[in-house]
Amino acid sequence: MSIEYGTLLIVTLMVALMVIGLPLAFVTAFTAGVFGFILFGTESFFLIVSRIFTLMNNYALISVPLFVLMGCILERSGLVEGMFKSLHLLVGRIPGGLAVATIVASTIMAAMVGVIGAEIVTLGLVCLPAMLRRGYDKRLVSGVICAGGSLGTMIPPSVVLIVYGLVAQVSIGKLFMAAIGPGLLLAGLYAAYTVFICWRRPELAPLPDARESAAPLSQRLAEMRQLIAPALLIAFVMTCFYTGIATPTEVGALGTLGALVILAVNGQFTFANLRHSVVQTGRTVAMVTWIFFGASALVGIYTLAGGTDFLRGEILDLGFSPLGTLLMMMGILIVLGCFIDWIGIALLTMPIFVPIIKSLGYDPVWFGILFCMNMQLSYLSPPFGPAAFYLKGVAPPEVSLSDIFAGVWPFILLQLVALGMVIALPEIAMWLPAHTQ
Amino acid sequence: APAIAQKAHRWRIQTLWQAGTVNQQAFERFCENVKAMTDGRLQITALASGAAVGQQETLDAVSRGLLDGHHPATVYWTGRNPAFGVIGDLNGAYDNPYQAQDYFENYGGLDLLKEIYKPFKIYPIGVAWWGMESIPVSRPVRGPEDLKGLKMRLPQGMSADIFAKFGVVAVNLPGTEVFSGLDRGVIEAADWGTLGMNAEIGLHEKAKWALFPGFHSMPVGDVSVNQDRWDALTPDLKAILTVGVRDFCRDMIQSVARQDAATAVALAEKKVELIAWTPEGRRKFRTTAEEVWQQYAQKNELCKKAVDGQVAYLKSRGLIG
Amino acid sequence: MNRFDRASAAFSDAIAWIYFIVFLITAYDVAARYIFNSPTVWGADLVIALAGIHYMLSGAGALQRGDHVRIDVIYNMLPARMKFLSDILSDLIIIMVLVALVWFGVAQALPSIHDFETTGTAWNAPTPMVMKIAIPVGAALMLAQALVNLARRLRGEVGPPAETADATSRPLD
Ligand code: NA
Ligand code: NA
Repeated sequence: MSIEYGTLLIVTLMVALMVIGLPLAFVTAFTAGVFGFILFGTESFFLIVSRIFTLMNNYALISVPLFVLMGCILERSGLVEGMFKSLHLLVGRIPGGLAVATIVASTIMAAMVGVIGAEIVTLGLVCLPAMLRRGYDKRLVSGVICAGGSLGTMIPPSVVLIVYGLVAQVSIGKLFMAAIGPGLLLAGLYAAYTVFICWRRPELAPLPDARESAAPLSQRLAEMRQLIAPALLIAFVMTCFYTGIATPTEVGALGTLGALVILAVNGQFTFANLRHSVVQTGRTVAMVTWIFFGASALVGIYTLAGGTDFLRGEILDLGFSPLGTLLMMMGILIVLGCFIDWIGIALLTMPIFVPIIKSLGYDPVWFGILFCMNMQLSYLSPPFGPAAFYLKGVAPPEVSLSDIFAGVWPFILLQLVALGMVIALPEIAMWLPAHTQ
Repeated sequence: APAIAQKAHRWRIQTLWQAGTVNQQAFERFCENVKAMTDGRLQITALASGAAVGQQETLDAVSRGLLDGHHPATVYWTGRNPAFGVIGDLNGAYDNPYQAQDYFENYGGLDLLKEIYKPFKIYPIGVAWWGMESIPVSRPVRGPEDLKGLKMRLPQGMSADIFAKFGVVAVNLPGTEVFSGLDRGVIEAADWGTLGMNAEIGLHEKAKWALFPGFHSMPVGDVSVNQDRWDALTPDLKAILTVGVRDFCRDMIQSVARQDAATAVALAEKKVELIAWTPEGRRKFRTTAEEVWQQYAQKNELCKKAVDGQVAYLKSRGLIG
Repeated sequence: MNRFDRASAAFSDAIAWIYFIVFLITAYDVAARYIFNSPTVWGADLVIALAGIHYMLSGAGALQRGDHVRIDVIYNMLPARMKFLSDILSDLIIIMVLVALVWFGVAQALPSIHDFETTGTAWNAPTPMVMKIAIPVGAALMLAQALVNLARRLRGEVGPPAETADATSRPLD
C-alpha cells in the first residue's frame, strides 16, 4: 500500500470511527493498529505498548497532573467567589461591569490555573448566577465565561504550552514568557468589546441599583483584601518560574503547596475538599493520558511508514510562500479545532509542522504561541467546543447549548483578530522573552 | 549479471540523533554510501530519535524485528545488563576515540559486545564515537579539587559513583530539564554531550566555562541489526556493511571534531572559557575511576570481561599504572 | 451500579492519591535541594514511576464512568437503533484494542522481568520493570470493564451509570 492510499485510509477510518462516537483514544489506537497490521503485521501492535511506556517515562508530563491538582484545590478554596465580589465593587458602575469583572477574575485565575475545565466550571458556578440574577443577557454572559475561562491556556501556566514544548523541543520557560503578551491582548480585547456592546445596548447588562453601588468606602476597601491571596499565589508561581528556583514540574508542586495554603487560610482545609481535588485530578489525568497514548501510537506507526516525511514534502511542494504556508497551517489547525481535542491535534500536526516552520526560518517559540491561540479557539469553536460543554454542565436549564454557542461567536471573531495581530506583529509575543533572557 | 534478480533489502534504522544534527547527517551519508556500494541491493532509511519508538525502547523493537536496526548509545541498555554500561562507556578511561576504536577492533571489544547482545538476537555490525564529551559548568572547575560540592546532572550510575568520590552532588534531572536546570541554578554542571552538542542546545548561554578537552565520558554508539535480517544477507553485503560502519565511525569522529573546533572559536568570542585539565588532574580522575570500574566488574561475568579487557588495554598504552 | 462497577470506581478514586504523593515527593525534593543542599537521587525516578503507573491503572475507571473523550455531535443525531449498533461496535473495537494491549504488554514485560530491568541511574531501582508490568495489568482491568459494559448494553441497560451527571465531578481538561 502506498503512503498516499495509507493516508486516505487513516483519515477515512478515523472519521468513520468518530461518527459512531468511539472515544478518541480508541479511534487513534485502533486506526494505528489497522494501518500498522496492513503494513508491518502483528508486530506493529508492539509499537503501541512501546510508545505507551515511553510516555509513562516522560518527566515533564507530570507537570500536567500537578497543575490540575493545584487548580482543583483552588476551585475548592472559595478564592474565586471572594475575588469576584471585590472586583464587582471596583468596576460595578461601568457598562457591563459584572461581565468585565468576570473577565478580570478569569484573567487572574488563568495566571494560576493551566486547565480550562477548572476555570470554566468555577466561573460558571460563581459568576453566571450572579449575572443572570441581575438581568444580564444569557448569551453575553455565556460568551464572556467561555472566552474568559479559556484564557487559562494562553496565560501561563498552560498545559497546552507544556505539551507543545515537549513535542517541539523548545523551552517551556520561553513559551510561557512569550504567551503573556498575547494573553493580555486577548483579555483586553474581550473587555473592550464587552464594554462597547453593553454601552451600545444597555438592555444586555442593566446597571446595578443605587443601594448596591452605594456601599461605604470602608466596606469597599475591606473587600479588596480578597485580592491579596490570589496576588500572592500568582507572584509566588511566577517567581518560581522566572527567577530560577525550579523546573516546570517542580513549579507545579510548589503551586499546589501555595493552593493548599490558600485552602487553609480560607478555612476550607477539610478531608472532603482534599479528597475531591485529588479524585478530580485522577479523573482528568486518565482522560488526558489515554488520548495521548492513542495519538502517540498513530504518529509512531505513520512515521515508521514514512508518512510524516510524505506530508512534509507535500506541504512544501505546494510552493506557497513562507507566509502562505504558515497561513495554511493556521487554517488546518482552525478546522481541526472544530472537530478534535487539542492533544490529538498537537500530537498529529506538530511532528509535521514544526520541522517545516524551522526550515522556513520562523521561530518555533512564536509558532508555539500561534498554536496555543488556535487551541484556545478550539475550545470555543462548534461543534466540538469543550468550553461550551463545561459551562452547559453547570448552567441552569434555561441556558441552552445553542445560547452558549451563539454567545461565543463574537469572541471567536476577536480570537481571529488577535491571531492576525500576533502573526503581523510577532513582537507582541517575542518582546518579553527577548528582554528577559 | 546474476540469473535471478535479487529482491532489494529495505531497512529502517532508528538513531539516537535529532534530525539535522551533524551526527544524523553523518549517519545519512552512511546510508547513501551503502546504497551506492551495493548498487541499491541494500537501502537503509534513517529514522531520527524517537521517530518510531522511544529513544530508550529500540532494543526491544530491533529484537522483535519491528525495526531492522538501531544506532543507540550502548549505555542505554545498562538497566537490561550492566555490561552494556561497562563496555559502552568506561568513564574516564580513554583520551580519544582512536584508543577505544583500537580496543574494539583489535583487542576483542566488538566480539564482547556481540556476546552481550546475543540473548537479544541483535548483531552489532560495528561501533562509532562522537568523541570525548565536554562538561559545561557555571563556575570554574580547574582540577579535581574544584569538583567538591558541584551540583551536576549525572544520568548514569557509574559516572555518578565516580564523581561522588570527588564530592560532587549528583542531581538526577531528566534530559528535557537540563537547559532550564542550568538556567535556574538547579545544576551547575551537566553530563550531556561534546562541546559542539552542548553549545548547539544552548547550554553555554548559561554555563560560562567548559571542561575541554573532555575526560570523563566517551560513549560508544553501536550500529546493530536484528540477527535474522543480518543472517539473510549475502557475504558481500555483510562485508560492505562492516566496512561501511567503520567508515561511518571515522566520518562521525571527524565531523564532530570539526564542529567542536568551530564551536571552541565561537565560544571564545562569547567569553566562554575553555578549561583544559592538566595531565596530573586527568590521571587523578582516571585512577579514582578505576576503583569504581572494579566495583562494576563484580556485577556479572560479562562485566568482568569488559573491565579486564579494557584495563589490560589501558595498561599496555601506559594510560594507567 | 453493580458490585463490579462500585469496586472499579472505588479503586480509581483511591489510586488518584498517587498524585498527592507525587506532589509531596516533588516538593520535598525542591526543599532537599535548597534547604539541605542534598537533592535525592530517587525523587525524579520514583515520581516518574508513580505517575506512569497511575496513567495505566486509571484507564478502567474512566471507561466505567464513560469519561474517555468522544465526539458525539453526529452520534447524538442518530436514531436510537443506530445508536445502539454504534455502541456495540464501539465496545467491540475497545475490546479488540485492549486484547492487543494485554497481549503485547505481556510480551514487553516478560524480557524486562527476565533481565530485572533497572533505571541504570544512580538509584538503579527496577522501576522500568514495574511500569512495564503495569501496562498489561491496567489494560486487563480495562478489558474487564469493557466486557461488563458490553454485557450491560446487550441486556438492554443504558451504558455506564449516570452517577457522574453532576458536572463538578466531571474531569476537567
Ligand atoms: Na494559565
Ligand atoms: Na472546537
